[in-house]
Amino acid sequence: MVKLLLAQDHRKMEKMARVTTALGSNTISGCTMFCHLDAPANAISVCRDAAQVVVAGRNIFKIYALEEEQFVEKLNLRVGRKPSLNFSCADVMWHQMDENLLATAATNGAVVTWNLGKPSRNKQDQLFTEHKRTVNKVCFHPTEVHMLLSGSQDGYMKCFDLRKKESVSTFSGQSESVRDVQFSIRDYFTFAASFENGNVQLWDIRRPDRYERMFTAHNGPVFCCDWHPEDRGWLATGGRDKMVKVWDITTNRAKEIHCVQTIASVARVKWRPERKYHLATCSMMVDHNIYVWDVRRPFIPFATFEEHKDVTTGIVWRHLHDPGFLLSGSKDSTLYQHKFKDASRPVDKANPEGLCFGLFGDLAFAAKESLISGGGDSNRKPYGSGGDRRYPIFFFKKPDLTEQFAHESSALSVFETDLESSRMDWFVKTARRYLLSGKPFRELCDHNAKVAKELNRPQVSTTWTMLRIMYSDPGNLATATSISKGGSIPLMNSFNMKEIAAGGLGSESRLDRGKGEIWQDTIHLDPGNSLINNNDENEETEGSEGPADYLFGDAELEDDDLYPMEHENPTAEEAEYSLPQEAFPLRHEIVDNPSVPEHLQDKVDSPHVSGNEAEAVCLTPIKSFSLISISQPLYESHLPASFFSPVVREMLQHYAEAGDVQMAVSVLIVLGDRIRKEVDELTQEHWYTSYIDLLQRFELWNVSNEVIKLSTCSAINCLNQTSTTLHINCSNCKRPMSNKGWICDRCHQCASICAVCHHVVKGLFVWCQGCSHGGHLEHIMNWLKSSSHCPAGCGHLCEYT
Amino acid sequence: MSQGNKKYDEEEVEEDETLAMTGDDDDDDDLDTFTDGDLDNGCEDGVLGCRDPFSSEVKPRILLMGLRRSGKSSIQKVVFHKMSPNETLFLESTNKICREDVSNSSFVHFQIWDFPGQIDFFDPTFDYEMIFRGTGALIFVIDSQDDYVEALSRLHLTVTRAYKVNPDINFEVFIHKVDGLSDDHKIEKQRDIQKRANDDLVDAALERIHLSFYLTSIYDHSIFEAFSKVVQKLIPELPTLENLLNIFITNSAIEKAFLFDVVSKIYIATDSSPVDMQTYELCCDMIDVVIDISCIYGVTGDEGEIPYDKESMAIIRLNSTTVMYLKEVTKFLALVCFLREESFERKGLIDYNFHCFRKAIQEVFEVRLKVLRSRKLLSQRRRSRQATPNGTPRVPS
Repeated sequence: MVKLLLAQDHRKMEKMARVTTALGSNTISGCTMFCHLDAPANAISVCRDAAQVVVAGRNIFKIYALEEEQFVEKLNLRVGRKPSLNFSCADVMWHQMDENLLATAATNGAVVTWNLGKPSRNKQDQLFTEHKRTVNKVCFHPTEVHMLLSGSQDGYMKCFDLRKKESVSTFSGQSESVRDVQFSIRDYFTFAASFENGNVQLWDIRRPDRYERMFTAHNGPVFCCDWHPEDRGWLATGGRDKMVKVWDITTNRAKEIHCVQTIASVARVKWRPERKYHLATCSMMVDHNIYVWDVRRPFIPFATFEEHKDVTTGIVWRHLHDPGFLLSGSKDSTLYQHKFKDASRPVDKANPEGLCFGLFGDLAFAAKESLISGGGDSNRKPYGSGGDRRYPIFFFKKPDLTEQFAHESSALSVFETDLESSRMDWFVKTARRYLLSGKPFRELCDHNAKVAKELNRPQVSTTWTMLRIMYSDPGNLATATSISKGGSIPLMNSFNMKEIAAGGLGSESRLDRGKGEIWQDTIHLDPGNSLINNNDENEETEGSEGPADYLFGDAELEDDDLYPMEHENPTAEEAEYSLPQEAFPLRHEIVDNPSVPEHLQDKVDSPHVSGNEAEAVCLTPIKSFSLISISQPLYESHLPASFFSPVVREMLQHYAEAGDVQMAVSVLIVLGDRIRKEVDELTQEHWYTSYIDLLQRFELWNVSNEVIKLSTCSAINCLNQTSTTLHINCSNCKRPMSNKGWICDRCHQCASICAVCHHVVKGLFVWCQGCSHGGHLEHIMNWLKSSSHCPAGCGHLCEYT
Repeated sequence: MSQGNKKYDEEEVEEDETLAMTGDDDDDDDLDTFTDGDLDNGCEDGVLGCRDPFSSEVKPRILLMGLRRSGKSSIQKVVFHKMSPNETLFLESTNKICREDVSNSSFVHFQIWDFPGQIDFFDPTFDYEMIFRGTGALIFVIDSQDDYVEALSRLHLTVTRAYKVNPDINFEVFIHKVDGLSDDHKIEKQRDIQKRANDDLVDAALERIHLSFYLTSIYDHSIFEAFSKVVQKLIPELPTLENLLNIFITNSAIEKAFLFDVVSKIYIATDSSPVDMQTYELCCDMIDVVIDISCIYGVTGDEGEIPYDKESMAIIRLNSTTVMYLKEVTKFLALVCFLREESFERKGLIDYNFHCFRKAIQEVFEVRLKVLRSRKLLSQRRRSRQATPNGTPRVPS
């Protein structure tokens, strides 16, 4: 009864204290500042009036006054030339009722109290040496003046009455080390203790025999816990598993209501005053920053203090009712006061745009709504924040001064790809039908070109044709094209170019205008130039962007690539500029040798080749299209095959990078020695492995094997030589055959006797996997035509499939 | 400048000496109280190098129990025989009780009893009293990937029986094979198992029995950590060692120090700052490296013996401006420290402090040996008198 009265008394006192301190909080001001300590700090604690801070560490124990612009050392409590081990502090706490009273926990197991009111130099007041191992934490009762709690590595928590010489009660954590103890701020008798085995226990101070409740909070040690200053049921815990969890313990079973995942084990956690959902954490290893989290937004810290250069060991909010100042001590021997306004806000740097591919080629793109709302394309299905609640993605823009996460919603757009176009049928078909060896080079090329054409891949088809032309007899180069500006071959080609305002004109009008300007006598067209329409495709993909098109305009791209490319012939350019067509549906059927209008239709937007005029066009920022038709060169060029090698190499690289490793590998194999030396071994190997991997995923075992066989890389070749061991059992005794010969060394019989003709089988041996009898292939086949039973007479119903 | 530095260093050294000395004093006090307490609760300690049957009976034993195929043999092989975790797949199931003496370290001398799961432990012909009496810790392994209802009932049965025979046993429960579980799932499992096991005990009115739970897996270092904790509970000198380490690291500006049992990579003691898993893994790896390199380049006469001796010492500089420092402490123990590059510049100081530290540890050993010898003497005298007085035997000094 007396105790209860006392408690009420103290509540009243607390209230009064609160009123006064709340008033006082207005006067707190300061800036981000720091001072050097002589030694690493282990823990810090502030005085009730927020004017002084005590720093304790293994070699330091000092009190600093917090002034407007600096820390001023007030008192060094480590006195004497030979400080005893009792000074080696693991934790320190300043009493929140009595500003003269301090307690420290020593690494040798001592709990020491200090009275600053003592006149002598040595302020040590009382010494309790009841713990056997390091005391990790001391905690004063928030309202009771004389009550002190300690938690130690030896697994015991002890409650001391400062008026007595020894502990009042001992709480046993059952031999698990105690990492933190905290009196509940609201419940007079309750305290929480966190343990190294991941448990958190709640105790009633009056019942030392057994904990009130216990729950497993973390996987691995729980290093810290903190009661919410306002909500009596909330307890935050942090552990080695890098998580901060907020528990609601008012329910029957402790319930995890919030969870924040950090990047390193959590050493301390402190609720931010006056902000219900904010808490500050610091980590134990690796990460030196202090984070302030909003537990409702656990993915990104609300604020970060990045001043410390070594692990932060102690954090405390300067005043119980002021959320603006945080004090921290660190192993880098500094003491900091952080002003909240100076904190960096990671959200500012967070990128509010996201892009992701779906399993079936769908594309999801999220961006700020303000950016996206301009377009009104039918392609897009906006999952705005107002619409489907399943898809809202919130991003936080600059938190404003009211310290709320001003969350800006962004819209998520999902672009669906046409299923047809994303299917890989072409890959399988191409892989099956390509010929890679066994015929003269020209025929291989022609065949493959035909295959590609049939599969509606004109670009690939053309490439094959080009290859044939380039590497075949130069005499056949009737249609060869080579443009090399400033080279030995004079050009007789023409440039036709024009500018078309972006988006304004459809392809029809472009076509018309293009037609008008094209030289009608450019009859012989280079098949290599019949390209897919770059810009058409771009428009398709970017369609949703509407007017934003010019951002991706070809002009700029070309502009960049133009100059180095000048000396090269059109094949290379084609390779360079064309998009991988398989990613998009083709709008036009492209025929190999089109008549002029058709050709134009295809070529309207094809990237242009070099030339002064072309350059001039390119520099115009507006989307520009230029087209070129190349007439036949005046005379045939006689170029050695090696002349093309760099071009072909680049083409291969282009294909590989564009995702068509099939083409790269096929060309590599077909060209063989002609190109092999041009591409470095590692790249080749990489292509081969990618292609083989793809083939195997499509279960094209035969093709993959062929590729392995035809490859010239030793690393690929040896793929076929791994796991070639076949383990066989003797068909008579059913034991594994150990020796290499024909005779099983256990039953001394020949293992592979034909069950039909009883001769030893040399060559193809077929056997039933059920009864392991078998024989010559044709004998067995014949036998099983007439009978379904095993020819050996074992009664097994063999099946031949 | 350099002179000034030197001076400073010397001063530091001097101070450290005194500090170390006070530390020793402290420890001796601790030890005295501790050994006294130890004597009170009877015979828990073994005798170093003693071969008579009586003393081998009182060696603290670790029993490894659990249902069959719960992973007991794997644990033993991985922890004490350096088997690679993947190889444990090929272990045959144990079919007889396998007793393994791990007395390779002066601190750890205990036995692992690997009980096959198939044997009915409570067969009347089975002398479980004899087995439980000298046991220091009973590890019960539960396969977390399996249905654990049966395991829990077996656990309950085992624990209650063992408690009746020897109430001083530490009961440790390894929730094993957690490598296959997600983090949330792990905690749920642990919570569930813990709750059920404790509820069973409460129902049997045996709340006094305390079970410690560990989530373990042989595929990471959790099994080593769990074993370390189990072993540490059996080491009566732990507070002393921890204190020594605390003093050592404080005065040498070391971040973290472990006292390792070299063979098993169990840490016997560490300073009181929390153990970080990565740090511990790095230390384990370092020991492996040191032993492996010593195996290649070190000179050893014996085949089976590990090449670890007084000269064993290693320094590894990590690119994170951290230095790892390993040094031999006793024949079987190694000190592994983590420190910053800046602190390592004062290597002389560290070495001097280490020297003091090693001396202190040897003293701890000697005291223990003395105590044990006198206790043995006492008990022999007692036996010869055929009378066992109930009072606490005093340690003759």
